[in-house]
Amino acid sequence: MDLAFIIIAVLTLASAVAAMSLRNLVHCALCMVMTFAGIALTFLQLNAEFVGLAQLLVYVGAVAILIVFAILLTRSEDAKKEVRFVSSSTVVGFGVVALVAVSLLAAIQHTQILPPQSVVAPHVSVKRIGEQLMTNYVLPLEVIGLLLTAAMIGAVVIAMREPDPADSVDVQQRNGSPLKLDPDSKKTAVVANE
Amino acid sequence: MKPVGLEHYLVVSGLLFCLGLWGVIVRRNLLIIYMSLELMLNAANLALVAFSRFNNKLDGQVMVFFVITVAAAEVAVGLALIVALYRKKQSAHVEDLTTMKS
Amino acid sequence: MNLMILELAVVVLGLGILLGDLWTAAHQKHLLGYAAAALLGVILLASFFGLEQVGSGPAYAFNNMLVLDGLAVFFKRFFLIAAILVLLMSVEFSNRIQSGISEFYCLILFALTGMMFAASANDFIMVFVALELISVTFYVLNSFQRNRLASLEAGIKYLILSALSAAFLVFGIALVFGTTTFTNFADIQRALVANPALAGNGLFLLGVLMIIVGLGFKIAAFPFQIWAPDVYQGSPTPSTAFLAVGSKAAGIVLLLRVLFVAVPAVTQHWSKLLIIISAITILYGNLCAIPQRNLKRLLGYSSISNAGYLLLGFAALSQAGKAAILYYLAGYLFTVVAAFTVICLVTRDRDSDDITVLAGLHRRSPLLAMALTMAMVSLAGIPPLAGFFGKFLLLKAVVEQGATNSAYYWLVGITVFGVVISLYYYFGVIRAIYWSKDVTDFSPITVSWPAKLSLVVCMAAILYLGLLPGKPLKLSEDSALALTTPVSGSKQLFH
Repeated sequence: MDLAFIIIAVLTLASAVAAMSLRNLVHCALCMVMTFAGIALTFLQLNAEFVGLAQLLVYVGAVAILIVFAILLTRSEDAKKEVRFVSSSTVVGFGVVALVAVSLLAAIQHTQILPPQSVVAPHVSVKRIGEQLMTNYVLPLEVIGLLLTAAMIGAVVIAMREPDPADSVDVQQRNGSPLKLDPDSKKTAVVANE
Repeated sequence: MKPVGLEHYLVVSGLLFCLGLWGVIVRRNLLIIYMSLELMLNAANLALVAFSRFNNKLDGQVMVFFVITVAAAEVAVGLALIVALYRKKQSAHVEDLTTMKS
Repeated sequence: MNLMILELAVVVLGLGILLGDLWTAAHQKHLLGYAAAALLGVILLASFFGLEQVGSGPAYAFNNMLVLDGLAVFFKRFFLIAAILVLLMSVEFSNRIQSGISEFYCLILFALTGMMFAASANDFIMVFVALELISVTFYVLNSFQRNRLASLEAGIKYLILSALSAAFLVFGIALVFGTTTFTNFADIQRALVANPALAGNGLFLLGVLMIIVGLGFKIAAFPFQIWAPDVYQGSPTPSTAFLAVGSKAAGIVLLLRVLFVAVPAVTQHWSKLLIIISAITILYGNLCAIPQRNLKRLLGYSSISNAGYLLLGFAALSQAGKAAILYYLAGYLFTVVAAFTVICLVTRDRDSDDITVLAGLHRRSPLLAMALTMAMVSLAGIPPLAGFFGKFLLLKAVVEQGATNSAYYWLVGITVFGVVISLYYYFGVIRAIYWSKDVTDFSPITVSWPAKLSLVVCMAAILYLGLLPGKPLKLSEDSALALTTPVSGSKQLFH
C-alpha cells in the first residue's frame, strides 16, 4: 500500500478523533483544520486538484476561521459542562454510530461490483470541470447562486442590529463591541465563496 | 502489498462519517456539533471524489464542488444563528435549548 | 428554457421585492406582501396558459436534469398556491417582525423557487441543490423573530437536524453514484434493469436508505421527526405554515420520484419497511399530540401523523396510492393554511399560542371560529370534508393491496386507531372555541379583507375537495401517471 496514503489517512483520522474528544474548543477547531487539510491532501492524491484546492481554500481558509471567530465570540466553557462520561446520549450515540459503521463497513467489504482497481488515472483539468459546470451542470450552478444570495440575505438579517433598544444596551454592556463585527465577517465569507 | 484501492478510501470516508455522527450525538456544544456536521459532509465528499476517480467520471467532482459551496453558505448562516443565540442567552449548549416544553 | 420560466419569474419577483423595499416608506413595507401575493397569482394563472403543451408528454431539459410532466406541474401549482396564502398570512404577521419584513417575503419566494425546482428534479444533484435552497432559507425564516428566544432556538434546532439529514443525503448520493456511476434518475433506473444484481448490492441499498433518511427528515417521518414539534412551536407562524405545507410537499414529491422513478426495483422489496415507518409515524404523532396545550405544537404533532397517512400511499405501491397522496396533500394544504391563518390572527395581540386564546372565538369573530372548526374537522377526517375523502382514498389503496400481504390489514387497523385518537385532540380545540368556561375577552377581532379572502378560499376548497371529488381526483390520477411508465422498457430496444 502506498505509504503516503497511509500517513495521510492515519493523520486525518487521528486528528478527527482528537477533534471529537478534546475538551478545549480551540484545540478542537485546530484539530478540525488538520482533518480538513488531510482530506484536501487525499483529494490531491486522487488526481482531483481543483476540488482539493477548493477544499483548502474554503474549509481551511474560510470555514475554520469563521468557526474560530464564533468560538471567540461565544467564549463557551465547554469543559465545565461536559464532565459526565456516561449519559443517555452517549449510549444512544454509541448504538447509532455502531449500527452505521458496521453496516457501512460490511457493505464495503461484501460489494463485488466495485470497478477494477487498476484504472488509469483520468486527467481532470480545471478546464474540463469548468466546461462541465457551464454545460451539463449550468442549472444547479445557477440554483447555487440563488442559494448563496439567500444565505447572504439571511446572515445579514440574523446579524442585524436589533431594534429593541433595551436589549442592545444590555448586550453591549456584557460583551463590549466585538459583536458588531460579525455581520461583516459573514458577508465577506459568503462573497469570498462566490 | 496491495495497491491503494477504492475500498481503502471508502473505509477512511466511512470512518470519518461515523466519527462526525458520534460528535453530533455526544457532544453538547453547538459549535462542536456544527464542526462534526462539516466533518460528515467532508466524508461524503471524500467518497464522491474516490468514486469519481475510480469510475473515471467527472460527475462526482462536480457534485463535490456544489457540496463545498453549499456547506460554506450553511456555515455563514449557521454561525450567525449560533452567535445570535449566544447574545440572547449567553450560552451555546444544547442543554440550554429548553425554552419550549415537551 | 421554457421549462423553468415559472421559477425564473418567481426569482425575478423575489429580487424585485428586495429592490422595491428601497423605495417604500417604512410603514408601508408590509404591503409589499400583497404585491408579491398578487404577482404570484398572475404567475399561477400564467401557468395554466404557458404550460399546457406539456400535456403531450414529459419534456426534459438541461441534460435531463429537469423534467416537466404532469406531476411537476401539479406540484408547481401546489407550491404557488401555498406561497400566495402564506404571503397573505405574513402580512398579518408583519407587526411582530421588527425589521426586514421585505427580506421575509423575499426569502419565502426563494424557498418557493427551491420547492418548484424540487418538483421538477430528475437528477440527484438537482435534488441536493433544491433541498439545500429550501433548507437554508428556512433556517432564516424560522429564526426571523430574533427578539424571541423560542424562534432562535427553533432556527438552531432546524439548522442542526437539517444539516445532519443533508449529510446523510450526500453520503447516500455518493454511494448510489459510486455503484451505478450515474446521478440521473432515468439512468439509474436503466442501470437497475440492465444489471439486476445491483438491487442486491449492499453499498447501493445503503445509499438508497441514506437518501430516504435525508428525505424522511423533510416530511417529518419517524424516526426523523424529533425536530418537528419544537420547530413548529418556536417559528413565526407563517414560517411554520410554509414548513408544514411547502417543505413537506417538497419532500413528498422527491420521495415519489426517487422511490418510483429512480429505484422502483428496490422499492418493490421494501414495502414492509414503508408499512412499519408509516404505522409508527401515525401512532407517534397521534399519541404525543394528546396532552399538548400549545396550538402550534399540537399542529406539529398533527403534521407528523399526517406524514404517516401520506406514507400509506407509498406503502401501497400502487397507482391508486400515488394518486391518493396527491389528493390528500391538496386537502392538507388548504386545511393547514386555514388553521395557521386563524392562529396567526387570534394571537396577534398576545404572546401566547396556548389553546386558551381560542376561548369565545365564535363571539369574537365567527368567521375565524368557523374556519378553524372546519380545519379541525377536516384534519380529524370526518365527512364530508377534504380530509375525510383523502384518508378514504389512502385507505382504499392500502386495502386493495391486502391480498398480497396481510400486513396491509394491520396497517389499516393502526390507521383507523390513530384517526380515532386524533378525534380527541382535534375536538379539544373545537371545545376550547365554543365551550370554554372562563371567557374574559369578548373584543371582536378585525380581519382584513385579504385574510378573509384567503380563509374563504381555504374553506371553499376544503368543502369542494370533500363534496365534489370527481374532477380533482381525475387531476391527481393524471398527475400520478408520470410515475408509472418505466422509461427503460422502450429504451431497452436500442441496446
